[in-house]
Amino acid sequence: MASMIYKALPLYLLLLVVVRSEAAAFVPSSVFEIQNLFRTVDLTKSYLRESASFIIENISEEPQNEYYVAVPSEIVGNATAGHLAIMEVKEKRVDPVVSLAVEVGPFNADLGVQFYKVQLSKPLAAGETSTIQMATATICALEAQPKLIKQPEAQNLLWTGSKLALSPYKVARQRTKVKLSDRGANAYSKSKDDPQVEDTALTYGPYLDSKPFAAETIQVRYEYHFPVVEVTKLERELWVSHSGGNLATEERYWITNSAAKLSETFSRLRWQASGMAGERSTAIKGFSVRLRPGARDVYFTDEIGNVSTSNFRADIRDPVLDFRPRYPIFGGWNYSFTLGWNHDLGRSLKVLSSEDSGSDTYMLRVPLLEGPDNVAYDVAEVSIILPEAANVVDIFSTYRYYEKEESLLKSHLDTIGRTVVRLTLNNIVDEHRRHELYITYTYSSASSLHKPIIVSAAIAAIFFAWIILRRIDVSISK
Amino acid sequence: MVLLPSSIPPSAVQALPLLKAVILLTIAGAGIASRLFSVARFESIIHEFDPWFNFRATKYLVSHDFYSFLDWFDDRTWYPLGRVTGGTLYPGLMVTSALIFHTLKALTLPVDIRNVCVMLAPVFSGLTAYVTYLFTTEMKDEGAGLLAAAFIGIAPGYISRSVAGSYDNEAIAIFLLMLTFYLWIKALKLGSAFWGALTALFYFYMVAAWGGYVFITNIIPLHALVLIIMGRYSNRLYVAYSAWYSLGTLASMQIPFVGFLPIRSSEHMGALGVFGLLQLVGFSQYIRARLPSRQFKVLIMVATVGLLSLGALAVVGLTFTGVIAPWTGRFYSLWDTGYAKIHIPIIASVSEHQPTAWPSFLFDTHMLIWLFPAGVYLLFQKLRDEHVFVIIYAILGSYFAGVMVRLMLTLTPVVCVCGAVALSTILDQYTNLATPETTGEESRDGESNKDESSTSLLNINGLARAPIVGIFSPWSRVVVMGSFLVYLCMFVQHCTWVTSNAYSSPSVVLASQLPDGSTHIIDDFREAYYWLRKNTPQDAKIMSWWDYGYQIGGMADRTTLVDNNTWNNTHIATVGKAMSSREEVSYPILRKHDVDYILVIFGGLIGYSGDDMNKFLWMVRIAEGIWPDEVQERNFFTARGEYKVDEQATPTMRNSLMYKMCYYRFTELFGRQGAVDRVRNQRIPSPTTDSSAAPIQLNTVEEAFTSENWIVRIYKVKDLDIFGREHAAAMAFEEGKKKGGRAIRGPSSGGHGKSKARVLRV
Repeated sequence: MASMIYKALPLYLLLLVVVRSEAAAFVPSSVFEIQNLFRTVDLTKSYLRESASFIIENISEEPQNEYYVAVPSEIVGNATAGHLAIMEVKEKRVDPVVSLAVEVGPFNADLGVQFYKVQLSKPLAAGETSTIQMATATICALEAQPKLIKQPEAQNLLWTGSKLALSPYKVARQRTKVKLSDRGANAYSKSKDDPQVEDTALTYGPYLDSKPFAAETIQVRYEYHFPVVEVTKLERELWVSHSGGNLATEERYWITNSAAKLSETFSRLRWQASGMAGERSTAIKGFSVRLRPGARDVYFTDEIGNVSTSNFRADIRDPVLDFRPRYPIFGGWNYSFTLGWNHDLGRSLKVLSSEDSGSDTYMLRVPLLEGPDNVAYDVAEVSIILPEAANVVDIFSTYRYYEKEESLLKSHLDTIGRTVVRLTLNNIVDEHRRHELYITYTYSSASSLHKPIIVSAAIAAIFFAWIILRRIDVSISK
Repeated sequence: MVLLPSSIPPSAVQALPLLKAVILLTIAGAGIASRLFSVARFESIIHEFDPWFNFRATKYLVSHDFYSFLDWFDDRTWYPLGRVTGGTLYPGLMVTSALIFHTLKALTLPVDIRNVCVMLAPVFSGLTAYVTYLFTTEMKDEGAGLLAAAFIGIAPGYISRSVAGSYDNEAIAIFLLMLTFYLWIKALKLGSAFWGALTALFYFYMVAAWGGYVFITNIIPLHALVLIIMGRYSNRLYVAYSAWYSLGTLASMQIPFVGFLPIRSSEHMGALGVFGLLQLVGFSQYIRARLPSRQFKVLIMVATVGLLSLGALAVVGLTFTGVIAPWTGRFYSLWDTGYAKIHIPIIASVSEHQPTAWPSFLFDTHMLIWLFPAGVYLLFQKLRDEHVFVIIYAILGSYFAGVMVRLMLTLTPVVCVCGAVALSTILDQYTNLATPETTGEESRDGESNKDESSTSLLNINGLARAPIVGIFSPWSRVVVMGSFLVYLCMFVQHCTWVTSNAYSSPSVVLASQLPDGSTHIIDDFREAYYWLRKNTPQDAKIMSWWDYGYQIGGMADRTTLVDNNTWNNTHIATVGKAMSSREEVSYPILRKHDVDYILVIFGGLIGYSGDDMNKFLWMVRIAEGIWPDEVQERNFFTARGEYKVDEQATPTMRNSLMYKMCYYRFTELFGRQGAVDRVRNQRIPSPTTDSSAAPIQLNTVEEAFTSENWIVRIYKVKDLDIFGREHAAAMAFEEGKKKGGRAIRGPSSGGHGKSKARVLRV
């Protein structure tokens, strides 16, 4: 695809000049040259991971502090979110190595490329070099091939990509390594002496002096006899209760299995036979979730009630929840469920400062995600519900790409309402699970008395009204 | 209170209301707690079949406003007819839970509507206990009232319909029934239009809540009529009845489902007739006060005969001309238990419409069933106006409970009331420390009384002088009180046992005992329903026997052809015909009704006896009622008249769609030892053990889903063949092609499925 675009580029440009004379599509100026690019395409998980490390050289006259990364539009889609889950760029010039700030740049419709603007750690002087490390992850990039399989049949996934890394700059030398699981690939694109084949990897290249936006499509088909779990939506709620000393977590999942669909209808007989034989399957049989220490009161339900097929190992240090959906989820099938558990609040809460006025500042520290792994999330909504009358001071997450929204929720006899902070995240994969969320808020111990006073006053009012009404005589005649 | 001697200090008397409140609260608490077995054992879940519809309707009401609920046309049931749901349901139950839900929501309490629905019946049973207390207090005294409250709180006959999750109309209807009766008694006693209006108000609520309101519509007029015949006409009766009838009837007509029934249907004519009679009697009373007695006698004779015959003629005439609706089938079956079996198999097919077996009286009311006649006898002794009411209720209730199992429910309250009256009379007699004057001596016995009641501590007197035998002897007291104490303990034990074992199963979820004693949950129904909900198109049409219609609507959220609201017999017969015919006959029916999936219940693998093969004969019978030429029950029985599914099964049975769908590939599970249906204990012909048996082949439908224990099997109806062939021919062609492919690749190649895939790939 990308190579097609590249070949047709002059024509496109011509058309562009004729039709749209005003603003030419954005292309970064060729201020860098890339040397010795080594790219790894990791196909061992149910989503696509790519990493690249390379050296950039400033070939312009002036110092540069902006570097552009290009991502093909089939990954990004037409929306800015698309399927790109991770875009992380690090520069080795500084010690310690830090992630560079990446922001969404312009979209070039003619090239079909989305640019991301990377701010270098410090300006790169003319002629100087710097080593860059880049990691991306993409969901929904791997497709089953064939799309339909029989129930006990092995599944193959197909990766379609370019053997050249998509770069807006000239690349002097590059290689691409495709990393596979222990079963290796059963079909892949070949040319003269490409690729070099190992047990669990294919290496394409080296290629010398590729032009900007050069691409050449290759395909790798490999056996992946596991489910491809896609969480189409996750709603994660964390309820903070100071009076109960509790942090309640509830997560609602809508999942689908993106593995190959069944070519025929489901046969329970065959499923039971393969289950007895212990065969692997693309159907989701169950999940295992490792919870944070101290988790208790675990439940697993769905829209029509409790699902009895769950097992919680209530180890204090390492609690594990194994749960099985009501039915095996084959390719193309859907399921939805709810998980919930409680934690002692003290484990996640820290008092930052205590003031005489009774208004204390707290910091809550929770993981961004806690669900099953080897799972890709399309949308994850993480909500933190603070106690009534708490005021948010600051929200900080080690993962920066989210939309934040604050609202007020009235629940459990509230009169003022509690602040709900909702973060919406798109395209989440396992790598995001290490991120944490910090919320700083103020909460006075006096406001914890607010509700009992209101409730007692209301009940007292009802009793008084009753006493008074009893004494009123409304009879017409004595 | 009678149980307490009069010599207690005034401070204790002041504490009595508190004590009463505590006792009633405890009774309500015990009543609620004993209904929570299923929640504790399983979960907070809606039970059985009808509650799923009520739950679905409640969710609709909660998410829409009241008027769109009344105007609700449900196109997701009775496809393609749909159902005017808003106009064909009793909204009382849904409105009640929606009100509770909105109240809790206004208090910002986060409560799930499902939990409101699950807990509604237990909470209302607590209220029923209180109302029964009030009612019985009117009959005798507060002691009897408290006993009656305790009885109704835990009586299995009522619990059977009001455990947590049994979200049905009866859940609130029994409360309303007793409250209406209490208010009627109160209105009659006081002759007050206010209480009469209150009676009408709760009568209206009852009409909104349950079709059993007809019971009230007939029992109150009957009471009034009996009182008139007994010569007990009074202005109090006139005021109470007129207030109730006029207001109640007008109010009841506001319910869309009831509409003009109160003036058009035969069931309501009695109330109207008594209303007219009361006016006549009232008028004649007025005349009598103003006319000489001889003239009056003549007048009254002429007027009575004339008006009565005129009225009767009018009713008969209107019935024949169709202005007054004739009796419905369900009503006929109340008088003739054999009626339904002959004329309406669909009513007879419901187990709760069967006549009651004798043991179930004892099962549902235990010792109260023999206290009940004693209580009625005691009420005969006094025979005040309100006692007449209870006696009428007792007679009618007993009759109806004998006719239909489910009407055990309406009998239970009166059994509790009468039982409480009887028991409280006994307690009064035997705990009363005073000996009647006639014996001439004190027979107070401290020691024996200590066992009976703590109140007797006040009186410790001589022991030896009391006679050994006789009603007032201390020993007879000990024996009687002791035995009743044992009976009461047994009663509580029995009620708990029955509730726990017989009435607390959600029937959506099944529990089985593993060899090691632990409980294993069998959740096949929800597994399959949830699969339908998540993996079929939103507008898929599911065909199943009508029993599962409400559950599919509630849990799978899919369109059904027939459901438990059995309003259209023909449509049900159509489904019955499709199930009991050959595939070639069924397929056009399925296509015409846009059926996408067929759902059958099959218990043969794990021995679940309530499955479709056991209900199959009803499908056949109902289908035969409409198409006697095409479906014949006889053909499903062997020559010896047996219902067989094994190798003796008739060809009609073996070729029926239901049989094929139930046993499709069932035998392959077993291998060499042969397939046994564990419900019917019959061996299913299996090609692996018996070379003459051919495997079941389905041409027009294909297996889509089978639950873990094979209880629910879902089949997808195939589309028309793309080459316009018959499905059987297409299948045979495919089969032939596979055989050809196999021959080329040799016999060692794996399942026939693979060859097809290879063909596709090439």
